[in-house]
Amino acid sequence: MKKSGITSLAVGVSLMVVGALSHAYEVIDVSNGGEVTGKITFKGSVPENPVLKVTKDEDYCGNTLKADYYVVDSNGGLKNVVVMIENIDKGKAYDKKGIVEFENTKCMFSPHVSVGVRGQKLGIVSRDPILHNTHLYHGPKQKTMYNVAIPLQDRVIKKPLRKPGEVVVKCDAHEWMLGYVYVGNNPYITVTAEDGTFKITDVPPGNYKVKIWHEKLGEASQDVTVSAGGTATLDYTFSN
Amino acid sequence: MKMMKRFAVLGSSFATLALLLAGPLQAAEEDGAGKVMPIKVSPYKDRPPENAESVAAGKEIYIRSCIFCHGSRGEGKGPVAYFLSRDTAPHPRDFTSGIYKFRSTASGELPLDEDLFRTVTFGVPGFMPSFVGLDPADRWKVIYYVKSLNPDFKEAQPEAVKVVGSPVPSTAVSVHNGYRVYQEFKCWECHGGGGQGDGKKAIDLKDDWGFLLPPRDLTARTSFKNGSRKEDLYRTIMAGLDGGAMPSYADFFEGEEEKVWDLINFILSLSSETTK
Repeated sequence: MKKSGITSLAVGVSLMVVGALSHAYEVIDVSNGGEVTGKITFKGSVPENPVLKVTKDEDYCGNTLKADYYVVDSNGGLKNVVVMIENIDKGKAYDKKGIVEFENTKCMFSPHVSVGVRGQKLGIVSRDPILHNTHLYHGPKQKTMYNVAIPLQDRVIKKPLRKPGEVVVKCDAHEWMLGYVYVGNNPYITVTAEDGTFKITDVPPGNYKVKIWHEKLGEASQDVTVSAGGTATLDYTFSN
Repeated sequence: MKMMKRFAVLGSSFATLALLLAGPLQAAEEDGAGKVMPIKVSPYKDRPPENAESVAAGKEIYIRSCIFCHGSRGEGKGPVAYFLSRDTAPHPRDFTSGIYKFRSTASGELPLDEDLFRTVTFGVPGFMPSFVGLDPADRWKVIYYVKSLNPDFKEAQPEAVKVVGSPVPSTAVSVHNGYRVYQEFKCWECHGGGGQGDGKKAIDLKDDWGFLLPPRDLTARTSFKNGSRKEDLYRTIMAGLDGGAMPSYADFFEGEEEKVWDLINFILSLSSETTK
């Protein structure tokens, strides 16, 4: 009973899509892999996060909420930056059944930015006693990827992440709610911590293009060379 | 407002016409009285093959029948679209977008051919007229043409959301249980405590194109765009209406689908009109 037709359909379709692409990711044994580490910083005066006006459920959500678009620590470390290796189609194993946690909590999405690998699932849950819906949009035209109701608290539902790239998440019921899930074609994708640092491990030696993405500050591309067992450093600074 | 009303009247007369015309057709589709056909419109025996020839024939029909609203490129921007809905939703469907409201498939999926056939056949109350006057074979051809406007249809093999259980009689107990489901699953937060589409979250719900699209007034079943038969409501609740705010409830009703049939009885109890 737990496995619905929808889930198996979704899995079926995602398998089909993966199969249709000639450059699907292939898992190989990476015994001599290197690392890419670094820090993403922000230089200049940090734009102010807007105050979000709560228009519904004020009794639970409060009258205002603070947006979390720019999270910069005292050393300039920028949180919530997605860092990913783009041109890699063979590499380390990853949990294909992995669940990317995604909470509706206190009328905000948490985490604000998360990453997953195509084929993994988004585990959506609400911690709030009010109606939420999780509405994912994808692609240049911001097409609906799917839109699911989250009427009950603390029940996790798992929905597929089928398409690579930036996924914008909204809640129709609360229009200030905004989140992002960046879906990679390979598992070499991560998001920066509070201090702006990141680490990508078990990278087969080679030359790569690394994409750096921030929801408001845009994206950048950097070249990096990873040697066997070595550590490549990649720092990048956004400014306004 | 006046305009909306006029369209509603126009729409309901179309709907009446459709019902009159659809009488024998529907009997054929429902496969015997009382038995609920899962969402599907049975594929007609004379369904033409889907190929370049039928797509081309469909295009001819499209130019005659659909172009005025849906536009020459299928983007929903025909000359009449402007008068139908300048700044209100819904606009005529953009067939290039791949977003379809009236599906029996999971949220985010393309519709089944049968879903498109049902919409063309019955229309959308208040908005799109029924094209039951087109020969079924021609309806299929125009659907093939519409599908050709979005390349995703070539790859996708959408499947219908499984229909678990079947409609239950509208007893007082079922309606009362349905009322409790309406509360528990928080339908009222958008559709309102009395179902009039005036819930606390109703005020600024928008569609994917940024146009205001308020929740349906559940006390007026003849205006249900996705149909008001019990199986239609099942489809709407479980699959959602992509492109608008109505989300899919399939995950939360999984394993307790009987609640949906009670909920449907409650929703239908809110309106006194009969559509059959």
